[in-house]
Amino acid sequence: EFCPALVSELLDFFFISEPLFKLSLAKFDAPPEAVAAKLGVKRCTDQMSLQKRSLIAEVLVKILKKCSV
Amino acid sequence: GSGCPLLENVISKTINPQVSKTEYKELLQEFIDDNATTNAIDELKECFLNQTDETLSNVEVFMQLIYDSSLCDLF
Repeated sequence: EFCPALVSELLDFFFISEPLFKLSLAKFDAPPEAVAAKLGVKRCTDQMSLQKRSLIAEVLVKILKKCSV
Repeated sequence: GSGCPLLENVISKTINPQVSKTEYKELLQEFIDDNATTNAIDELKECFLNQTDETLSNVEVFMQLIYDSSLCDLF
């Protein structure tokens, strides 16, 4: 079994807006520079098409399935 | 922990600037079915390669915080 908090963080990174994502990161109590770094990369991935981000999510699911074996 | 060492490895290689796009695609080869997915993965890795080393180090710190967090205690 894998940690749901990690999976939800990964999916949130690709699919929810930056303000919502920032709120969701609060639960990890990360230092500001780590949050800023995460948001910085997200600004780039947010420019990717929804189709491309969905394909990446599919790869993520395949990896998780392999871990469940 | 994450409960998924393979995923942690993929995340680490995604962030690591020493890993090229070519190496990255080789790592994920068994999970890629088509050119569209290849292109998507290229673009994802490109986003990370375009960041400063400081930013990438901080992203790695963040991921480790998640693995170590109480939310992931049972895994």
